[in-house]
Amino acid sequence: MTIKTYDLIAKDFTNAGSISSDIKKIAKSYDLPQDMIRRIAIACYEAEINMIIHSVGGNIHLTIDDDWVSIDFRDKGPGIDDLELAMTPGWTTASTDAQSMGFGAGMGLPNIKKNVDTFELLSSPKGTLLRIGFKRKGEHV
Amino acid sequence: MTVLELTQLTHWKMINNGDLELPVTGVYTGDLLSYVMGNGSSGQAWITMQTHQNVIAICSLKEFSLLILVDNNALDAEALESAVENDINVLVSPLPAFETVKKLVQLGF
Repeated sequence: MTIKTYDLIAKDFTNAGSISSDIKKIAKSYDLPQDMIRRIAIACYEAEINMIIHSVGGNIHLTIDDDWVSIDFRDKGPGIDDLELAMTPGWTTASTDAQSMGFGAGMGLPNIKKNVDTFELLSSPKGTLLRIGFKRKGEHV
Repeated sequence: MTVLELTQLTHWKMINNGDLELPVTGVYTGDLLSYVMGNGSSGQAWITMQTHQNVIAICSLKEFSLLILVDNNALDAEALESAVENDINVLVSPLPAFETVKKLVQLGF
């Protein structure tokens, strides 16, 4: 069993992807199926980048037990105005600067949802919680 | 074809080398990072004009065999440092993206 929490600093593009890399390393050490490791890497990267671009900072909490790999992405705001729009492929509120770096294609949340087994997204101006899960036994839903 | 063979056949400039014996299983081209994350596959060479550090994070996460920058673009200093740390193969093509792709097609990709 693994429980690990990472602090995420807003707008820290320099280290973007480092938490996802660490989570991927841990997932590999569990000898999970290759496809699941691939899905975890994609979903974590997108969620980490989302927090870096859009939030004021927060933390990422990883839990791996016998049945599930669960990852919570919790930030301290400013929240997502319209969850339905945010889930629409191509929709983005990323800054021009972020877009010129190739971020903000509006594919982040759709990419995450496509790659996980469970997906919960709660948001208010005080913060957003994205909780994703990968089932270690059984089929990818 | 391995990374080493590809570098020899293209004569493009290698600015960092990791494992040159890695097989190159295909090619993906893209500058929008979410599309690259969503659609690229491990073992591929990735062609892009993005040069910042996050490109290296993607190479590492996706396990691309090789990063190819186009139009003689160089990596940012932090990105190059990160490429060295993560053993990422990085090649610089003097050609624009389309001609870079054409060259790889000529080589059999």
